[in-house]
Amino acid sequence: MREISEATVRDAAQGSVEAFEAIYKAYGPYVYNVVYRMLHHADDAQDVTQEVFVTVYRKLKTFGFRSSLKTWIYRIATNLAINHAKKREREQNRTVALDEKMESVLASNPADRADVRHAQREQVSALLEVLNADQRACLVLRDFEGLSYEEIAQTLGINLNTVRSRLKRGREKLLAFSKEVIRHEM
Amino acid sequence: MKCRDVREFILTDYLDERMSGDAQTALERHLAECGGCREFEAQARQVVMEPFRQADRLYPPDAVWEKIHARILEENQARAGSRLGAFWAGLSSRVPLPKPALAAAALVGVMAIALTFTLHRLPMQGPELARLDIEAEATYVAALLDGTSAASVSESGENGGFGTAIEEYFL
Repeated sequence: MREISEATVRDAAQGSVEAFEAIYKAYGPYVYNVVYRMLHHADDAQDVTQEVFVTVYRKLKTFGFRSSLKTWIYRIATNLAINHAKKREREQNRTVALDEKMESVLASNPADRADVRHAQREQVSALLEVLNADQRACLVLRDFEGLSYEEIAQTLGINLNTVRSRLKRGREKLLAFSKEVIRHEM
Repeated sequence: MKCRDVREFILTDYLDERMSGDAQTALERHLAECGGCREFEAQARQVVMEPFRQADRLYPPDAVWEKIHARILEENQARAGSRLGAFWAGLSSRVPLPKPALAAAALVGVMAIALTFTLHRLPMQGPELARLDIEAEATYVAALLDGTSAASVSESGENGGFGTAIEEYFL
């Protein structure tokens, strides 16, 4: 990740489009990854990424350099992604049925597909669908972005014990789901 | 260490490499002795770590930045517009600007004062001069009717009066 100087942040806060583009180039792919893993839908991920950076642009003047810019942007991204995921679930009134999730995982067997990467992506998304939005945010920040527990706590505005318990419960769910999948395969 | 505690650590601090020292030594000693927990650890690595670590990174399409760019340009234009509006609002709150009718009345007043001042500074002319001419004429006529020599006195000065032979002949 390229470093963004304080001067660039200040220029962007004053309305410099060039400075803001540098910020987008530095953090855009990370935000998109987090949001995509949270939502598992390319169009939604693009829309939310757009909202994240418009929000960052509007609020940049209030950024006080008390935390890192990366953490600050991640916080905006995870908040918007969690809200979007919860809203979508409410609107569709759905918690994807366990059978439906298992079908996704079983169908994503790389041996049956030429595109192994696509199959892996589908498998990962299906696994993440098992989790609720809060657990998913913790796992995505930890396992995809490599944030420490402390950074996750700061990003999500929760304490360390909550980070730990969400990771534990999320991973327990994944293990239980995996056992169900194996049972269906046999 | 009990199996339950070991498995909880495996799903969190152990897999995330946050353990060290005595706690890690104790957990690994337990794993060496407990087949069930060893199997649990292997399964956890396979299910909750590997799929995510092998996942490829995704990149947003160029269209995302293009949309963001268009929106922040709109924001900048809106900001510039609101700054101009705020400037005028600030100006009118500090310096009350007159309404058109009041401004016109004030202008007429100023012009009237300026005109009066200008006329006062000029040599006597116009109506005032005419009024003085009429007064002089009236005095002269009255003097003639009274048979006095006020008119001639006033007009002829020290040379006035019946001092010439022609005057004496006619009068």
